[in-house]
Amino acid sequence: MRKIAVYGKGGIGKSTLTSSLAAAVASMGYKVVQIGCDPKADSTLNLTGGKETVPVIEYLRQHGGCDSLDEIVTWGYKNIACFEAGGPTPGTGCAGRGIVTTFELLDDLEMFETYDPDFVFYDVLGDVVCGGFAMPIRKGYAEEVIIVTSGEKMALFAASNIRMAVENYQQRNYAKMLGVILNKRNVENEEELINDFVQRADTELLGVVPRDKNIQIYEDRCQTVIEGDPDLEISKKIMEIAGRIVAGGKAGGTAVPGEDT
Amino acid sequence: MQVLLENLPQYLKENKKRLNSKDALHYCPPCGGGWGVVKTAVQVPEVQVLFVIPIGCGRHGAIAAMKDGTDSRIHYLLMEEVDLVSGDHLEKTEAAVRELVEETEAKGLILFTTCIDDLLGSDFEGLIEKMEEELQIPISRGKMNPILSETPRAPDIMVHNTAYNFLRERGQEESAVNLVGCLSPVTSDSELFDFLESGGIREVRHMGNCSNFDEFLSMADSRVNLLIRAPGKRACRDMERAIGLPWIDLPASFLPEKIDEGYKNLSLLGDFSYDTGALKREAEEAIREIRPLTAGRTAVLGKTVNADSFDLALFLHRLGFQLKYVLAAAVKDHEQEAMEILRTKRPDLPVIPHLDPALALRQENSEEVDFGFGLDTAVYFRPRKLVLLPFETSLFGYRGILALLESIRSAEPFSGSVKDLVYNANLVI
Ligand SMILES: Nc1ncnc2c1ncn2[C@@H]1O[C@H](COP(=O)(O)OP(=O)(O)O)[C@@H](O)[C@H]1O
Ligand SMILES: [Mg+2]
Repeated sequence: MRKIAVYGKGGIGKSTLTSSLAAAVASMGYKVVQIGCDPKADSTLNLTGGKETVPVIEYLRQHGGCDSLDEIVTWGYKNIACFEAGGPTPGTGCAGRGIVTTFELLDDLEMFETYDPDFVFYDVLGDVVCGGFAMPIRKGYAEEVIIVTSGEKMALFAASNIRMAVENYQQRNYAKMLGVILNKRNVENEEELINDFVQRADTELLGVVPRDKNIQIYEDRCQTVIEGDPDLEISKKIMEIAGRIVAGGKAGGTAVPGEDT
Repeated sequence: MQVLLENLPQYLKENKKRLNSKDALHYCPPCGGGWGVVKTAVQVPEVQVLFVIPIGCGRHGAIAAMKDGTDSRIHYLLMEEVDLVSGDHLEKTEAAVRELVEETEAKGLILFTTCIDDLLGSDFEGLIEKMEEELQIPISRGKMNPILSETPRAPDIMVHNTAYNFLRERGQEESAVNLVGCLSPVTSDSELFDFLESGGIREVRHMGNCSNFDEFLSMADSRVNLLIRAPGKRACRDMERAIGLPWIDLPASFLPEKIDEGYKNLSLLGDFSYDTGALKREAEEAIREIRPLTAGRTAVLGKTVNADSFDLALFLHRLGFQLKYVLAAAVKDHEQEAMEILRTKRPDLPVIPHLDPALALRQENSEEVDFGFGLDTAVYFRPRKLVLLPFETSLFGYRGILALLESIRSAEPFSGSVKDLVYNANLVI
């Protein structure tokens, strides 16, 4: 079983890419679980055809407890088991704790033993601001981390914060960096900025995802591009990255302007 | 809010929830102290216990430890808000752990945190791993987090994990078994020991009986865990996962049919020549003999007894007691059957959640009953005779029945003060 956490700034494309990668990996025949760790609870919408997965925190709020995985799982594209942690009403509560609670519940319900997945993707919000959000990269949860970033300043800032947290935890034998995915926003010198970051962060570039309107087209149908049309350029690109992830990373390339690695 | 047994909600039958309402404040009874996480965890010999704790959280534990004489092994690192929000308390904890290991002869360390670190998601696991490596001493995480009280991760459940987390490497000792879940060891006169010995099991381990840390660690070598009380179930399951130590359900019960069932379960372990038949007959005879003393007598069953509420309630009903109330926290899996039987016999029996706020009012105008079972019955009622069945004594098997009958027979009229009872039992809240 490989457990991979995908981190990055809000809005950068984590959910889009995590779902697409999960779909790609599942279409290779692997058993996949995706856990959305964002209070928005929108991580898996493109896998479930828009069917809303009841967020774990919401479920607990209503029922006080949960006795079965069936109550909180939604089966998505290619039988990907989809979970959403959910979180508090914005401006209140503790979203980090929501993640901890969700993980403990999945543990109690023996999710890993029951589904025995080959790949688990955690789609995690933000730039690791506190203990709760770092939960997925701690012992027993994700063992590998992918950072999604563009060349935008704030995205890179978040990326280096995440890198720092991983570094910090790595000393304790927690998750290791698997690599970085550039999700292009087409800013000036984007490739250069990324290459520079990847080098400073002492990690790998797993691939470059161009901006592509097909992503929105299929998003409107609540699908990933992998499900929507696997023959699209963008789908092939994502399949390639998925292939690298399955192979254990080590892309080792650099981003070349005008050429999408 | 008491509820009649016939109206006990379905969710309780399914053992999903405890009786205490989440919609009301919980009453904190004067007899509510006792076997909390502190007293349970310090049973692991030669370990030092460090609480990382805000100033208000550790008081009752500290005082209780003084009364129990375990305070020399319990230490406190006080947290302030700024430590917590900055994450500095983790570094301070590291320093405290180092100091503790240097200044004591600890063989192991238990690191207790509170609700606060649950909410913060502080990475104590990582800290523990680091400190274990640096100081070459095993450290186990404990949680004193009443915020999870009514959940599957309740502190009284998880504290068993805290203790058994020290067990790491499994050896092979065919002639040894462990007793898990009971806070104190099963009393040595129980036929359980004769039974086990007749099948070649000579060593029966309980954490409270281990004289040093190594002996405690040898529990990992035992052939099997015998789960005597439900709160140890999760620890049994986790030990099976972590070190491959299997477990068998062997609930302590006062019902002959359940006791039989337990020994039948045990027989799967091998050939046991001990015949429990004679003792069973002796117990049944004693039950008949005691009836003149018990039949028609009014009784209340409290929560502070070392027994499962509905199991013991059915037993008392069979003795002929006229049960007036049962104070309970939950219906556990293995007492479902007993509860169902009792429900058909006594649908009108009121069950009171043991932390029900309305209990506070009972102290003033308490009702007189012939027998009270459990110290708490003396707080809320006026029992003429009091049978304590304290947690310090774990009764088991037919000898357990005989011992219970004996304490009913020998119960003196109770006229003392409840306050003295509470003080003498070292109950601190
Ligand atoms: N490569 C891309 N090309 C076009 N649109 C994209 C691309 N990546 C993400 N998007 C769009 O950006 C928006 C935000 O992405 P999302 O995955 O929800 O971000 P996050 O999960 O990081 O908050 C989505 O509406 C998505 O369609
Ligand atoms: Mg998202």
